[in-house]
Amino acid sequence: MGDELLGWLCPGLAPEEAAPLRRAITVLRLLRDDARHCGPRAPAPWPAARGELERLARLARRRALETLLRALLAAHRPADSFLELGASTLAPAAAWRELLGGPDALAPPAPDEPPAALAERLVRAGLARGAPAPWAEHWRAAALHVLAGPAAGERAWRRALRAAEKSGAPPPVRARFLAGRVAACLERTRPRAAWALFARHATLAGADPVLRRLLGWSALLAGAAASARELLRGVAPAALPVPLARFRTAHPEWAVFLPGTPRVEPPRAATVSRTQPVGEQVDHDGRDEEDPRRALARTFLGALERSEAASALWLEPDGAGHLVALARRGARPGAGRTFSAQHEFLARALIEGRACHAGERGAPLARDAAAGLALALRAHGDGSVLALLVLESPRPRAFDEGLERALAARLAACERAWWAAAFRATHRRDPGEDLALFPEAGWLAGVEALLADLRARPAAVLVAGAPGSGRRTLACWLEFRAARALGGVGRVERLEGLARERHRELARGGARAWLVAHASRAELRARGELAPGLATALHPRALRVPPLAARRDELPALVRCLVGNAARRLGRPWPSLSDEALACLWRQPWPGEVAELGAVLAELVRVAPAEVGLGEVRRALAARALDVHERLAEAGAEDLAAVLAHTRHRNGSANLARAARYLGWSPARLAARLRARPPAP
Amino acid sequence: MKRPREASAGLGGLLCGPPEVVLARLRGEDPLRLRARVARRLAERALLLDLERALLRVQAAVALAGAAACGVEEPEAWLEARVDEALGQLLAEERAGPASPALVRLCAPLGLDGERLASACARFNHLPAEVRRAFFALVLEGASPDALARAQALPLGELGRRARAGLEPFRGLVRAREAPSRVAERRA
Repeated sequence: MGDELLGWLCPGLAPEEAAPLRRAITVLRLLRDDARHCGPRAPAPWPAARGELERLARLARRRALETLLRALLAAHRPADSFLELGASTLAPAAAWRELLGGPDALAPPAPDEPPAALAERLVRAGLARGAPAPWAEHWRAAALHVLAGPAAGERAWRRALRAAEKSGAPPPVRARFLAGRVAACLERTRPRAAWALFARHATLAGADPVLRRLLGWSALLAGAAASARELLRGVAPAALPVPLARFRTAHPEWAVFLPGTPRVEPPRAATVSRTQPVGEQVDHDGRDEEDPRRALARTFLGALERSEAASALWLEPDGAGHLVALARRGARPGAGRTFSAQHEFLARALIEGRACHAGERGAPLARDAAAGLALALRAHGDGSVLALLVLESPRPRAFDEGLERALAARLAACERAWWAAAFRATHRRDPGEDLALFPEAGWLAGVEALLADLRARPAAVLVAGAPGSGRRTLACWLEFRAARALGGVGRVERLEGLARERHRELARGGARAWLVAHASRAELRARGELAPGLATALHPRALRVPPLAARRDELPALVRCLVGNAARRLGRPWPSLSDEALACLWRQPWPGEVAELGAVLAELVRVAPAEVGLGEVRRALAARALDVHERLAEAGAEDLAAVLAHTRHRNGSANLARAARYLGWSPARLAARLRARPPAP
Repeated sequence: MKRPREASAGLGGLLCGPPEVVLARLRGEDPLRLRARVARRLAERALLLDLERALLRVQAAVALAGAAACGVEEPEAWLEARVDEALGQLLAEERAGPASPALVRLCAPLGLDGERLASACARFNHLPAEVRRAFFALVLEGASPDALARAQALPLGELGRRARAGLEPFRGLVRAREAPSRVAERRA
């Protein structure tokens, strides 16, 4: 490197530093030249090549074992656990395929094999395949953490960390163990103990971003805000396992650690007293850009006609008595004034539960006192205010009764979408990670009736479905709705591996719980997986997630959601799927359910170009050893309704050619099928 | 560098059989031109990796995944994906693993510690791609900063910032190397 360039890049570099730096760069140039001259050379010795092959095969098996351990623990990990298990690039089914063959094949899990025994068997299999001792220590501690609780986990992590320190393990290994211990401390509501670990192991904080993030959260919860900022700077953002708002409500034990916690009960209704500073909070705009509620608000305001309002504002109560502006169109209502002038007006709208006409009630919204209207979006059950719409028009008496009724009806029609958006916003594990559940789906129509039943008698409810179908997400959705509609706190628990003591506790009744299971009540009872007392104490109405093949109407939206998640997770551009590609995905049977669809889409995002075509989809399916179904053998009424709805022309008429392409049929066959058995209108 | 398109014409036949047999076929005359592929990807991604070590890993990865290649419609894309996968694995492993013998061999005559330089290379390889590319072009290729900034439509300051960030792991290496001697001086 020339002196001039070195001087430009490293101003003030001392000569004694410059000489070794030049030598290092010389080595790098030689290394690059070596890589560039890629003509024919003698191949590496056979033992080296063979050794590499064996090493890679061992690594592949260990990766498969890790995938299984991760999937096993993720299935048992509580939703609010701080333990991060990492991401797998392999699907569990593919991992089993990898491990079930070969001379040292692993026996598949027995139906009655306890999760702890399976985890131990997988760890031993790893050791037998040459995995290092810290690898086994890590997974044993993680298994204890998840399956035996954070107290046992903390002890295991501490032992593992001590052993790693004694054996001189590298910092990344020690940092992983420390991260587990910090997570266990946090789960035991001991943020100060977690934060104290930083003082003892400060040098490890830079070795692992997960540890850094956990320490940042510990600092935050222990009240060391400046240290938290410092630790979290530059770390990839990730949400707390439980959003702060839910810490305040669902985890009252955390309340003492959170400044500004107004109350610990779940918010039943948005109540804004006249003395609270509503106006001061209105301009706060610091929410996550990806917040689905913001997207909903923008969509709603974007659909308003110019003639309906010159300016519009969507506000939401934040649970602490403040209003937050989520979206705005046109000039801000009350332009030129501070919003505190509208404090009384908005509070009245909230408290009295009716629309307020500003111009007529002495609370002018605009400088020229033209016309203003505030409408509240209320929860169907308890009437609590979910959102506020504030409109303003320069025309006097612009909001006549007809327009007001129409706007109120349009706002009320948003309620289901609002709940869905709020659920997604509060339950996202990571920023930008959207949940693949669409509460507006027909098979979820029984939820409101179930909630009404639970109001009368709290009980445990069985949420059944095939693995990977989204049972846990559904259970979280039910708890989310129940927390708002009924108050109190319920728990989402996995039935497999649930302690018998907990079975007995739930059998006594009186507590709300959502038991995620893989089979129906009768099947579980027959297999002895449900204690007899609990079987009778369960709520009679069980919810079952239908297989993905039975709800193809959701598939296009699911694909959009999962592609977005994968693109954000992998840091890849968001590819667009051609219609043929989507059609191919649409007609597959998806035996591995939503999880399998997600894995195929993640593979597409990882390797495919910006425009994903049919060829890429076929390859991604083949890569996961899935048969590519070129046509749907038989389409049920739901399939036909779904495909006709999805493929119709913009003017609403059916597009038979496109629908036939989705089904993999000829248009003539589809037309004949529709003539023979027309779908219900 | 010319893209080796024709090399993968007989992919199915080459990759059928047990992994050891496939590996033996791949090593002989490099029928899939894996060496050229690896070299091209290292240059494109501006990675400081030992070509021989990367090639060994790629050959092993292709041999191991050979059965999956039967029936692949686009063998080129499949091979490129295997190369990228193997390079990704190497990048993930190189932080904890020992330095490659080639690097140690190159360091010895210049009085540098191969292990430390390998660790600095590992840190470099995890920097953002634009930083690595700026470092390659300016520091290793010796391109003119002005010409490069014009060609890439970048402000000169930004180009310098990137190259400086790429140089940082190696400056750290020099500092770490010099530190003990300074301590000794102070003690003296």
